[in-house]
Amino acid sequence: MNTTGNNNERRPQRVLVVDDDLTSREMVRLALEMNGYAVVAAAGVPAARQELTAAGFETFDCVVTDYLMPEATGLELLAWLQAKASKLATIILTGKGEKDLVADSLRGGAVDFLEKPVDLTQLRTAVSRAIAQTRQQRHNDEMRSSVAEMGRTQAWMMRAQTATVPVQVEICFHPKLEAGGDFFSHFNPEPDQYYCLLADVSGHDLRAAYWGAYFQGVVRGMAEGARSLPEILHFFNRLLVAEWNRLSQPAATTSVAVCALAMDFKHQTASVILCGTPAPVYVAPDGRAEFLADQGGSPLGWFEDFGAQSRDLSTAGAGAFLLWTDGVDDLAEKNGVHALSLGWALQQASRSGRRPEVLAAATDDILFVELLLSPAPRSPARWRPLVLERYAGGQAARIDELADAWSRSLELAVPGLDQTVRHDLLLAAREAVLNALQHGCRNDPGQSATFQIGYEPAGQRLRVWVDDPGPGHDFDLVAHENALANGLLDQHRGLVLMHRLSRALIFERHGAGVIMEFGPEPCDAKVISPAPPP
Amino acid sequence: MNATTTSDPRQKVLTLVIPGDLKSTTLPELQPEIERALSAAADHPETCQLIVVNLVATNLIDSMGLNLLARICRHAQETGARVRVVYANPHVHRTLIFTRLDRHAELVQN
Repeated sequence: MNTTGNNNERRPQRVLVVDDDLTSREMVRLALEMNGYAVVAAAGVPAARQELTAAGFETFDCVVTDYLMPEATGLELLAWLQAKASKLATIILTGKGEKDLVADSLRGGAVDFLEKPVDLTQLRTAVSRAIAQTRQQRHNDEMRSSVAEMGRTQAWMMRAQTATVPVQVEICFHPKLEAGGDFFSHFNPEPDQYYCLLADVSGHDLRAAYWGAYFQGVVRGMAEGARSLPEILHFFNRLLVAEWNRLSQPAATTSVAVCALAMDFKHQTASVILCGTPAPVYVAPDGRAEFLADQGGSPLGWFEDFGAQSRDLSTAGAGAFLLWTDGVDDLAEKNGVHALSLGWALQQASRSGRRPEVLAAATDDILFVELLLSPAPRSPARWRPLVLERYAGGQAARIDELADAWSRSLELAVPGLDQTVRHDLLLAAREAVLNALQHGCRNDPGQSATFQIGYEPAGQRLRVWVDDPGPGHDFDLVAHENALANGLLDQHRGLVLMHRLSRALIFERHGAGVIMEFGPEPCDAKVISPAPPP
Repeated sequence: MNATTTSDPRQKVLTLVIPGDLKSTTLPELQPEIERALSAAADHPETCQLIVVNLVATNLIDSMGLNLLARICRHAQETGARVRVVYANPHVHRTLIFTRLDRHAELVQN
């Protein structure tokens, strides 16, 4: 007997034969029963509909129907089946001279057609093929449904945990497929302690999702057993290197890039361990941001010594951490923007319940997380870094390329920004960075300057920070501006631009540190009335 | 990106056309032709009473670009000529006003 279904639920393969002609119907029925099929016969379309509805579409594997019948045609039955159970394969039987029906049948979704009188060998072959197609399509549907459910569960698990921790967490997760290898989890091993792990398993398929869940479970379990994060990461690395990756057949390396963050609320400190993910950023309450490590360390599973980078810092119980996986870096690079700008754009889209267009170019899972260290509701006047970079002293010739990336980042992150504000910021930032590289770093590739653009969404203000290791300058800028206007001097015209274009300009360390603020409106207060000709 | 210069001795006008942004990275290509034209004008100051700097194609001027304009203004002062800067982008006008180049040149919107 032909059977279908898995081992626990095997049943005979069932075929519904629909024909108003008793002789023809019985001949088809006998031929199929002799081949092990369970056959249900119906004398017309209404009877067939009744049979299918009563027994359930999923109890049949194939329908064989005559075309020309008094109450309704086989094509009408086909159309009804397409609407009700499109995965149930249907074969149409046509009389001689009804060849025109073939095209209509196939267009209507029939998998095959046979001409009467039916050749029984052809019938058996066609039914066998149709049943295989039904089973395959039903299997595909089940798989799609399972995968979608897995993705929903993965997303739910990430978000559901956020309510149980004393940190405000915002997660933007966009797996490449329905579920992915990126994962974020967090918990309190002790009342005053908080652990969070952002992990990225190699690949972005279901296998990666499975490994991600396995890893998170191991971490959580070991943390409950009072193991420290370094101990847990060393253990999992050993597990991958010495066991799973050694035993896997065929040989395949599973690796897990991890950014682990442990916070101690009692002492207001944080500790970061980095194994192959992009470096996280800490944003101080005044808006200044810093990378907490150089990108580096290798993912767990590659080497016995995975060379993690670690860093301890004092948070004073305030500020925010930004963490993301390399899919964000890749997508940012594709779009020629900075990862922090992309992260902000993803958060904005997520808050408004839309899928950002920029994700269309994603080739990996996307996970971006913000952790806000504040028990109070989110303050609207918070600075958010959009660009954070370190430039070596020899990079002045790349200034156009750098400025283009700043410009694209602003366009993505602050799409409604006033064009004059944007021009002024880009020009003043260009001057500040050139000044830092050429004078502060003396064009020495061994020296470097840091650059940051921050955004304060409530006030729609933008701030630029530039810091270099040089001595700064020592002169009166306002007096210099007057001298420059009258005497057409060449010196320090960049500083004048920075002063005039920004709403506020603050020099730190004699100008080795510069802070400029812009927006929300252009800085018209500093427009100088056209002077009379000299 | 090279500057185009035209001298009209009958009208006593020297025209300098900047084909794009006037900034640190474009200056090395622009400056030689401008210096050559200024030098030629300096040899016959009576043939150049007006220097027109055409910035219609310019969307950004940085401090190095402003320095070049200042250099042109200084040259004009020394030779008794006037400078007229023609611009199209309001951001360019903003930059020139903010840095007081308008005290030394006539700014004309295209």
